[in-house]
Amino acid sequence: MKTRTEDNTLFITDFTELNTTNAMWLQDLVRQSLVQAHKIIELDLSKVRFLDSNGISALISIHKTMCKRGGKIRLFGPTPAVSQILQLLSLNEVFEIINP
Amino acid sequence: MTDVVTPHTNQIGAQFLSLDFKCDLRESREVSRCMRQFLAAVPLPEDDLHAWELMVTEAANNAAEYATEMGRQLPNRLEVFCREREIEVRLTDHTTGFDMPAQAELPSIDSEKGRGLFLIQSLADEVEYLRGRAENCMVIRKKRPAPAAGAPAGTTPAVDVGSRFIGDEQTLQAMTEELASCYENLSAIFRFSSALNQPQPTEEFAATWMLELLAIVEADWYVLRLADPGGKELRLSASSLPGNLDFALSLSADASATISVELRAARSRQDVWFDASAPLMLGDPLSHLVRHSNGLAHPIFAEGVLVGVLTVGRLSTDAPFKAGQVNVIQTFADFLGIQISNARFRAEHLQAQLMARELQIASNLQRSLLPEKLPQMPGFGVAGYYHSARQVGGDFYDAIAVDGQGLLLVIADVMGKGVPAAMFATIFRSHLHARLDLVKRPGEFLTWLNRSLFSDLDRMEMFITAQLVYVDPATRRFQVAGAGHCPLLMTSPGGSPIEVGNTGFPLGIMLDTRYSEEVRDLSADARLLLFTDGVTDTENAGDEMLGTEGLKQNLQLIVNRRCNAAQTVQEMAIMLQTFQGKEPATDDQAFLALASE
Repeated sequence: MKTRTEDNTLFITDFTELNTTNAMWLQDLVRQSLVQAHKIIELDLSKVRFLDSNGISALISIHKTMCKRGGKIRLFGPTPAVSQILQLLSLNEVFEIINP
Repeated sequence: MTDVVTPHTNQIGAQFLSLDFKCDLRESREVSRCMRQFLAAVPLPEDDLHAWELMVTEAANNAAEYATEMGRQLPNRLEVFCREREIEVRLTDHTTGFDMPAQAELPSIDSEKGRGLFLIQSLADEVEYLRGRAENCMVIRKKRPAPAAGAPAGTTPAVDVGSRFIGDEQTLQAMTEELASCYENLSAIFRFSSALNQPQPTEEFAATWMLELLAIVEADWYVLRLADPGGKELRLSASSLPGNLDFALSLSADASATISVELRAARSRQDVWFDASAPLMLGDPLSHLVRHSNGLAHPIFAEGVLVGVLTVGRLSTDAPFKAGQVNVIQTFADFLGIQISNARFRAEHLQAQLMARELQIASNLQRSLLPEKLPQMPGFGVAGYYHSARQVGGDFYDAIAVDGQGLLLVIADVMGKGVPAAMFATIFRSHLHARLDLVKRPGEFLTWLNRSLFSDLDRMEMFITAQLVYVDPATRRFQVAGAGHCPLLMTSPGGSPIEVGNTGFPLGIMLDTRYSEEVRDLSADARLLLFTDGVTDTENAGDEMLGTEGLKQNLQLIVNRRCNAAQTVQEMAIMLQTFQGKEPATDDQAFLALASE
């Protein structure tokens, strides 16, 4: 996973799964990288082919953190597999989703 | 995540996969990847591969996350069966298990937990969770997509399957065992189901099928106890144990309920397990016979009502039943519950039919006793009324013309209901008609009737109340004698009803009773009303009885309108029906009216 900041947005990129094993890493990474100026976290899901319920939990946890700061989470280019899961769990309306 | 899965056994063929893996979240993900590779070779389309990968990850994560301390030391097992039309995956865990909801609910948006089972149920066609003592098994099934037209089928036909497995004896053996086990279970259950409709005695049925069950689940013994219909105790129905268990276990709350494993299962309405860690208690009746056993006591319910308890065990403490075997035991027990419940229902239904038939017979008897047409005398009219309560009783009335001159009025009530009461009413009637020479002396007639009927009535502990009235039109007098019966009412238009006739003992109480008679004059427009206590005992919606006073008032109102006998009876019947409203009559109602005309 890699992070970069542009304006008020923290970008997290370069990962192919969000599952039980790396969900905790993602949350740690956000905790370490997040600064006051960040209002948006954008996760690049364009290469993610597997998302399980623990990965979802991590997304919800980050979403709640950002809401408390008056910010938000944005999901960029989810693959069909990931889109299906978000839809199944009725989360496609909770997160801002960008389909390029 | 680069660790390679470390299965203890790893059998991969095109149709069957079995993997044992460590109870660990990381391995859970690896095992789902491994399964994906296997399924990709079947082959399956990407959507299905992704669904299976996610379902197995979720199931394996739960198995790792909720494993018991001892369970963590044991490997979890994944088995994949590729069938022609569906894929079945079984994941065996060592958690304490959970109650599988029919459809898991989606947690609130904010919740960070509780989506795993929802995902599995949403993506699968069928999900079962079989619970055992030491292990549980989640069974997930999903249909395979139909092959595109013209394309070769995804699964090779059975002949090819065999050829592809030559050389992998282990896989073939595992498949054979699996198939044999499925076949045994299925065929036994089919035989069991077809036997459900056979009119066999339940006990014999249970004993036969429990022996089949022992063989299928590799158990050593069983005890089946059934709850009595009142649900007060568990009684032995069948057992494979040699010792004496033929005594009842009380289901009432007392200390023994916490000792007996069978009672604990019945009281808690849950399976109760016993093994080395939770052995049968010393006071448990089973502990004398199978102290060192492991197994379970399973309560059997039919429509929520406890039907019995089935206890099944093995004579060792270190070979617990597998989740699949526990499922077979539970399924058999539940089938049995339905069978027992049906048998009881049939018995009750038969009893109800017999009772209905008995009432029909009694009702027919009752009707046959009542005179079709009452004799009339010059200057007098006679009319009768009879209304049967829900249960037929023994009310009876008659009017007999004597020598073309006098008239004997009879009213009687046999104590009791149903066929016995109707039978005695018949006997009473035949006795009555046997001694018409006594009609002019009703007291003597009752004395004779009492003597004649006493032994039969006494033996049956029944009695009859009766009233005989002989009316002589020539003298315009009547003689009345009563045996425990309510006095008749006499009145005339503008008058006031008076009670006539003494009561005395009913027939069948004292052998030597002598009945006296009373003689009264009949005025030019006199009315007599003979009735049974069902008339005065009639209740309205407010549970108030009509009573003798109520009857007198209503009778007088009718008589004041100068009704003849038939009209009086008709008006009285309407009055009774109006009074009781929709309340069902609890006793027969009968009355007989005589009017000077």
